[in-house]
Amino acid sequence: VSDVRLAAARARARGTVAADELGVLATLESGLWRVVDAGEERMLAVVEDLQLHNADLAGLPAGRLSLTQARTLLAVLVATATGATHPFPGGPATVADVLAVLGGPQLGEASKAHVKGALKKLHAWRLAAIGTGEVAEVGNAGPVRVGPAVAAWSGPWLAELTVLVAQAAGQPSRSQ
Amino acid sequence: MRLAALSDSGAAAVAHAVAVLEQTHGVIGSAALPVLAHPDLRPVVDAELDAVGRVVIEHHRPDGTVEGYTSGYADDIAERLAADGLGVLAPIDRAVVALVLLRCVAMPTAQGRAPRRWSAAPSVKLARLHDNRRLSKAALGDAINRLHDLHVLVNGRAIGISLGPAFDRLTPAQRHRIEEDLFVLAAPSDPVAVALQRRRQQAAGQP
Repeated sequence: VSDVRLAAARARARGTVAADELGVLATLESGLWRVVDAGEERMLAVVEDLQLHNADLAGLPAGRLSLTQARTLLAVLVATATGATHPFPGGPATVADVLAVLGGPQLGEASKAHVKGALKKLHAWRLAAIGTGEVAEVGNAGPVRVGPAVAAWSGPWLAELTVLVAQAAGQPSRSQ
Repeated sequence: MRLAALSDSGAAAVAHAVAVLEQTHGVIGSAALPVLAHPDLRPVVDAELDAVGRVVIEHHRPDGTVEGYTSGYADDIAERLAADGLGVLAPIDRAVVALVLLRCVAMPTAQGRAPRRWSAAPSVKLARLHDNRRLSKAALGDAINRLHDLHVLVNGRAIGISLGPAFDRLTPAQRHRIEEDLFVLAAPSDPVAVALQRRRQQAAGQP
């Protein structure tokens, strides 16, 4: 078993790249694989992200966010927006901030429960980080951050998203 | 041949195939990935996946033609990851998976109704899983939700629980290993099960 094969497989299975694996992973085909810096951790990702690169997903068994999950993710991006050109790492926010973006007091208890359920799913998929450490807290005061998977987002569409989020958050965007 | 040696269109086709194989959850119809039937490009896909310890897994129809593809860990890599404890399920999650495998695969197979693909096996009602009194309903529900998020099981709620697309990522050797595990689980004192366990112990003892 070669060092590169094993290091790449370990990084994928673990979800993070260890510091001592960076050297061997740098030898991978750069047109296919890249190591994404997500703040305190690094991830090995496929360069072409099907969800984000306008790929035709028709007929493919690809995962898709539900409407509530997509709206909740957008609300997380708005609540954590700093005006930077990339949504990761964003600023700190709380579950209450996310609920406020989605309607605040106008949200019924059932809708709030759906949003909190969506936050847990986004946490599991590493698109959002709620709570501290491995514990996914969804109490109103619980902390919310952008998840490490967002660090892998790239492409020309990102500028459009940044403008959209900045407008929703009422902040000037540095990319404008 | 590697990616860098291909034309732009060939390299793009290989990159797209790798992205689709690695990012989808389930068998991709062969028509969606013609590059995998291309005599010159398929070896490049194989080589690029092998570079990260992965392989293309072909799924065949009863007549032997290729129905579709997935990707998964190569057998030698899977053994090393398991030895490292990477990707290994918690004991309670493994118990739940074993229950679903018994209900959805082992029992129908023993009755002559082997599913063509494990992920396409008929689901089992949650109530049947509750027949196992050693697992509380809460623990069982939590495990099913975790396994659903990992694509190991599909929680179809009213429809039932079925095996998820993660099983489509197993190579034939890895599936065979699970079949042996199920046999040992169901009939541990059967001479065949005893022989299987002895053979594994001997293999584990070899340097």
